Amino acid sequence: MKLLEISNLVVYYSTLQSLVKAVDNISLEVNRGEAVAIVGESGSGKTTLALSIPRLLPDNARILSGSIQLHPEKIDLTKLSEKELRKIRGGRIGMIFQDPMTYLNPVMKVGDQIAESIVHHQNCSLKEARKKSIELLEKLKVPDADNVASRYPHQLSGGMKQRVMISIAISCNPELLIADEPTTALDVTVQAEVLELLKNLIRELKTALILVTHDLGIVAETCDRVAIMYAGKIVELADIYSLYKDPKHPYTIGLLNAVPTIKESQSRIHIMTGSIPDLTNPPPGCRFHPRCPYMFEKCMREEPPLINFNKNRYVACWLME
Amino acid sequence: MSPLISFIIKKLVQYIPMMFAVIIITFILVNMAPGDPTFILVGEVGDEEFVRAARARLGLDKPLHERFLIYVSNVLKGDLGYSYLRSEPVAKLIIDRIPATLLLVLTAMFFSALVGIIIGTIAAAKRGVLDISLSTFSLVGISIPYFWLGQIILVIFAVKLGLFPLGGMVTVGRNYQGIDHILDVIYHLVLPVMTLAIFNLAYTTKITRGSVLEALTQDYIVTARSKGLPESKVIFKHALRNALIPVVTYTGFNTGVLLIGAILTETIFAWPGMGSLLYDSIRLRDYPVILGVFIYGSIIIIIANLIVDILYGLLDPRIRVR
Repeated sequence: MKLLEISNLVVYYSTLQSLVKAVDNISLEVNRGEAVAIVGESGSGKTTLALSIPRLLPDNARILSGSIQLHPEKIDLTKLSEKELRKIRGGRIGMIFQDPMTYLNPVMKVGDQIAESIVHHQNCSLKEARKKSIELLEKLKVPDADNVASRYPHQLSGGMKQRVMISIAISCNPELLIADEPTTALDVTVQAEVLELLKNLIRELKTALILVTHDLGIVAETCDRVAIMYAGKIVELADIYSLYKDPKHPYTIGLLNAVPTIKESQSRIHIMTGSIPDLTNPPPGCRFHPRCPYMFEKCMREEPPLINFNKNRYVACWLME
Repeated sequence: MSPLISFIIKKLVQYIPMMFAVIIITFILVNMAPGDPTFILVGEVGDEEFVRAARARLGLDKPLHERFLIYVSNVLKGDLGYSYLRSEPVAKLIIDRIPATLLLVLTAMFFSALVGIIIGTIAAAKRGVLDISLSTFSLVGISIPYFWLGQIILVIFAVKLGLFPLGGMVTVGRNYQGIDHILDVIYHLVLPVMTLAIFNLAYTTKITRGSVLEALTQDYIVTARSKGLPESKVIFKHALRNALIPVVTYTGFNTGVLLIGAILTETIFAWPGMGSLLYDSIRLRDYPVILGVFIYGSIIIIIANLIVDILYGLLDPRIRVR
């Protein structure tokens, strides 16, 4: 059953000199209870894509065209009034951000930051909301939750703060959680813990998850499907199993090769040469062609469409033709 | 001992050398200024012997460094000396006048902070035409000098329109009691407060606007919006609280500016406070009173800074006194 349907979304940033095409004609569907990863390098547009769903983009961003429909009502989030959208933000869509240090208000007690959302969406008293926020923290295995709720962010560790962030996001039982690099700012050991919590949580609450990350390692443990983004486009979309077993797009292959493993006795990590193109002026044809080892003449001329070639597998590459 | 009290004591100890510097600098400056109090007392054409006797009586016949040592040792004993002209102890003269000045300065401070914070926040939140006009207003407000503004306000509201009294703190000869007295004082307070508050109001608006704009670019604002909070809550609850620290700093620092403004304002509106006392004393070269007013003024500024330090902790848990 469909929950979210993004169709032909185009998001531009306007800077003083030029337009940056951060998200260029992207379509993606997310089903109820499904966990979808959006993977890409910095600058690939993955965060822009995620933030455009609840329309939390910076002031200089414009959703130029396309639609983002929330099912079953098929409300188009890109056309909704701010007032209507506020019921959905925090209520039906919860957000988890990258750095819990900067994304939590430094002068508010963390318990109050969780309770605020509950009071706003569920119309209950502050006292009830505070009680609920402590329960949420307990659910996220925060020791001594009662005490933690009355602390300020700077008094908590990174892992604890991210649990607070997650509590805020799930406080009103959203149908969709959007997590933008939720573990990037954390220590490796804490990363695993937080990821495990997140995974169990979405199973338990039957919440859909959009996980934005550059780390293919954490995707395998958490998600059902993966969308690989490159320079504002989805280049490959597949279920997790097929993607790891049989990656199709040269970029995906490159990414997977760049993940270090301890099983193979490789002394070197394969690196991809080059970097993401300038999005104010992307290369013609396939945007990956300047870095692609299999590039041929057509790649420079024509842009490959996202082709469905096997059940739920999509690839945008002329090699697949 | 509670941490707050030990914090206050620590701060006060830090202020002791500052007090000394204030006494030294004002003593030297006051004595370097041209004019001689004896001539004001006995007139410029007095008998030479008479003038010499008057100088000796005031202690002005001794060399500067000796007079300084005598003054400092007296101050340390809590004795600020006698006024040359009013034959009253300086301390009593000042203490009688302090409530009027504090009433004026604190009202102006409260009013300008409150309104300035609200206007500044709205300017930051709305942007566009409203922001431009509010910013223009604040630029104008910052640029107007007190002495000019005070006289214009006096001419318009008291002389032409007759809405408010010309000056003073109470209506002479009425002897109001209780609530009537309070209302009468408020009636007299309006124009001086307006004069004194405008600069501060304009500056607070400017600082609040900048500070709120800065806070609105922070990540936690995105979190607040992601909760679905209305923009008013995002701004007043999340951005403003974080933006208040520079505003409080400014308000504390500005106590000194307000006290100086009070000198001019009190003089214009014949407000019976420390400011008009200082103005008269400077005119009449009443050295002990001038020095005394400076010492009391410094104490008021020190207290204001102490309050700012305590407010910091209330506003920002990260710098809370431990």
